[in-house]
Amino acid sequence: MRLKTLFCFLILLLPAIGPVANADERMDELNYSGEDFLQVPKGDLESCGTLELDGFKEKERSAVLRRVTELPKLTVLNLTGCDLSLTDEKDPVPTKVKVVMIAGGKLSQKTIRWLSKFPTGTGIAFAECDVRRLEFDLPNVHFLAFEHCEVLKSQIPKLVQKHDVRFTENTFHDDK
Amino acid sequence: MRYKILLALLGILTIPHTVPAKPAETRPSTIPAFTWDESNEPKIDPFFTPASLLKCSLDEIRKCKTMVLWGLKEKDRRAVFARIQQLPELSELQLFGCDLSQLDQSDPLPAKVKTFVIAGGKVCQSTLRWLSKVPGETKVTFGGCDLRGMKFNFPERTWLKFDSCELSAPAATELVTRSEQVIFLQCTLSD
Repeated sequence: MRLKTLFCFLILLLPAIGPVANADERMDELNYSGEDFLQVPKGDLESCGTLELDGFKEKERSAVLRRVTELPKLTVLNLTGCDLSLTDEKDPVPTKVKVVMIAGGKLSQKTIRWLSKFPTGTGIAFAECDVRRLEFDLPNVHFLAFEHCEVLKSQIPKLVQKHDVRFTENTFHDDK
Repeated sequence: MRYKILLALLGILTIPHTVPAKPAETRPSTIPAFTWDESNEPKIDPFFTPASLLKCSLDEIRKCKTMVLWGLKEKDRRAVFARIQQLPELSELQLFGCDLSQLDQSDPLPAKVKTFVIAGGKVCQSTLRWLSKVPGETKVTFGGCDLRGMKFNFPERTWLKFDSCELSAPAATELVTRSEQVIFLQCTLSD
């Protein structure tokens, strides 16, 4: 159920971002755990256009992110259930990615600083994340989406003022 | 600038509803000027002014599914909406640069319309009261509208989109917390 929701979410987001690849170019969609991703021969990843990483751990983070930046055709990056809480602006970002989807996992303000390094025009979708207390200072980001997230009501005006944004079935909390 | 935005908005909104034309060899060669939908019936040009809409006979537009109406004035409002009510298959209504300020909840909504687009024109609180009668799962888009100071009372399951609009911050917050889905593109909020 969760995967179906997330897939629909991604499909809905894509038209807002624009085409990500020429139709005649071979683009693979690949799905790995962090551990498996590090074992795959580099040649098998060269045509990877969409990568879903399912649940990489903090100890795998540096190696995984370095490898992600080596994928020449990667335009869609899905991070599902990953610990991104220690990812920050010193970590590398893939340069051709147009859509980043973060579903579940752990986030922190450092993660937002990492996301701010993505290329201009990137769309970022958060699904089933607790984004309370996070400041979304992402001037390069073209579009933000929040689905089934925990959000503070006070965050809404700031997000709308700064970004193109979509809210779908979130849970909203008052500031304490 | 505003018209560029509206044109872009129209383009985006029109794309999903455009039925790809059949390959040339499968079209009847005697009527090359028409495009054809999947049932092989002539496609109705969806663009109307109040005058062109009122000039058409009902038979000509009875099967209209999408209507884009430009420049409605208050003096034509009743006649135009009465005509729109007569279209049994209308599922999408786009109102560009229309004066909707005198519409209110006593005016009927076209029964089967599931997608409304209101771009520019005059919108006020009574327009929103009229529009708030939509059933759940209706999609409503506002483009280039000044909605400051207005309150929204759409059913929870309405999907709302605001493109290049001005809204008050508390209203935007309330919209987001009450609605299933809300999209904001290039909007400005005021206190």
